[in-house]
Amino acid sequence: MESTYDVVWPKSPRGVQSRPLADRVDTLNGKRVAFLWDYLFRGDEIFPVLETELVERFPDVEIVGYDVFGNTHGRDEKEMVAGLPNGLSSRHIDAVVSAMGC
Amino acid sequence: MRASIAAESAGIPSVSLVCEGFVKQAAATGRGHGYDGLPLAVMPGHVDAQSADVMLSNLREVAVDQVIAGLTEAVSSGEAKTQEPTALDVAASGTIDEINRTFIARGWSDGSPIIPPTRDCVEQFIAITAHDPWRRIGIAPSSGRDVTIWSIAVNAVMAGCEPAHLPVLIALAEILVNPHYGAEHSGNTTGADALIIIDGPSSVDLGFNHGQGALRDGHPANTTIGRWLRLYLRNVFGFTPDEHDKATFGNSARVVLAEDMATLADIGWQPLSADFGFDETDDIVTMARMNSGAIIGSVYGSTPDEILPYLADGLARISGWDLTHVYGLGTAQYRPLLILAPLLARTFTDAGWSKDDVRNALFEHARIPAWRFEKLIGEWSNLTAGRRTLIDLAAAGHVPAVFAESDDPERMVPIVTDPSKFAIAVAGDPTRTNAYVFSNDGPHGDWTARSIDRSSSKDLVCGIY
Repeated sequence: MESTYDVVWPKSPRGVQSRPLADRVDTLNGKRVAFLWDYLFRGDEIFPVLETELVERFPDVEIVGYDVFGNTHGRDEKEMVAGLPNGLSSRHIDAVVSAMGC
Repeated sequence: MRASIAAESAGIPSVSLVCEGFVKQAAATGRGHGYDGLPLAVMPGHVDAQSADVMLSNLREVAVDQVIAGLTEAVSSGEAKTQEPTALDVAASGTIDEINRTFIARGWSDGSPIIPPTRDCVEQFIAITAHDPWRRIGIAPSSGRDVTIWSIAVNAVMAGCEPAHLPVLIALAEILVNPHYGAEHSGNTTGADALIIIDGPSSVDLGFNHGQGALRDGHPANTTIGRWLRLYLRNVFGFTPDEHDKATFGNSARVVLAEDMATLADIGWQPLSADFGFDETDDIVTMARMNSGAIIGSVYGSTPDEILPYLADGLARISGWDLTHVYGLGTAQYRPLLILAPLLARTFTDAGWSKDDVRNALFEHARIPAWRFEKLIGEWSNLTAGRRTLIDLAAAGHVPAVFAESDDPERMVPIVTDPSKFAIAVAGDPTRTNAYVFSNDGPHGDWTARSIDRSSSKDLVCGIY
């Protein structure tokens, strides 16, 4: 008779606990929206058009361009991303559009 | 995604603009950081293959509404959670064939037969080094899963590793959780795979082949440890196509490269790990993700001046889009590897050349026209934003002045920012004059070295349970 085996799981438990997402805003009017860019995949063409579209629909939205926060990828990514919570809060950002994941 | 996660952690709602093919990886990245259901706005297709009109039409007609919804509408918490086994639960039972089929079906195997990881096998694997199986080395930055001695050993049993290799595997796991290495990028679309390099006095004791067929399978230490890495990235770091692995092509597991310590001692060169602050008395694993590899075949010549141009040509030929790690995706992080067969290394040392002499000469000879460099990182790949010239980048201090010595587009420029960026190892058939070159993936698996601690662990004082 062929041997049988009871085997254990090759994965590992998640050490990171689930967290709730931030509350969404009720409207973009009157809000400050930051664009964040990884300087890849044509964000420099996409963000200006996105800004135009958002302003058309929400005339009182304030857009903070991607150049304010700089490249979210590359050599300094870890430091940059680690500093984002403070950077966003200190600039009173209400919402974020981050791009491009391709 | 990581920027969006940072925003959410500050209580600021985010939406991530992604291409269609990135949706699964985006969701997995959010989950790995504890944020299920991160809102996405999805661009149909891939923007790099679209005209500006098509891309912007997609933005206006599809993605803008999703951007607004992602910031203003309540978000569901993602997929329903399923109960996962604990480490000691029996996850599957059956014959060896049934176990292998189950592991493949559940995405836990690389497709080759695995050794069934029974609890007894795993405990015995760990017992020889007396490590605490539940010691957490860190957290996988991609999946958010614990990196533990136990999970290292389970995957080692599956790969066919020997218990004596556990210290090597622990050192590799320590590299994987080191932020400098950047393991979270291990599934990027260009699909590089890691090369492990081992050097030090123990590499022979542990059974590594450094000679003929140094990168060929057939030697269990070299082969099974390379396999373990891919299994561990799959099972604990989550690099499967359904989660974090977005490789367009990828590679199979790379065989571990062991340096020829006897030749190095004989010719008076330090091993590769010396570049990272270690010396030849240390047992070291070094790892970096490699994009492309190429053979420099039948190197002809009996002096450094005769053989160096061909070696430099190989390094220049292997360097393409990866030059964006000189500046762009990385900064001064392009660091290609040259593996010299012992005879070639001896050709240099017989003439009195040090490793630094070789590096300096490679810096002068491994060059490409400036126009080609600029097209590779700009027009052809669009990987360095703004299509700036090397003269622009030098003026801004992003690359050294040697890249901008004139405005002649035909001027020859280096492929690295300084000679120290050339990594050199010695291995392979000691009777032939071939070399091998690899281009590396910059910060996406950056060169990282770690010492191997083969002393008995002080962890385990009371058994497994």
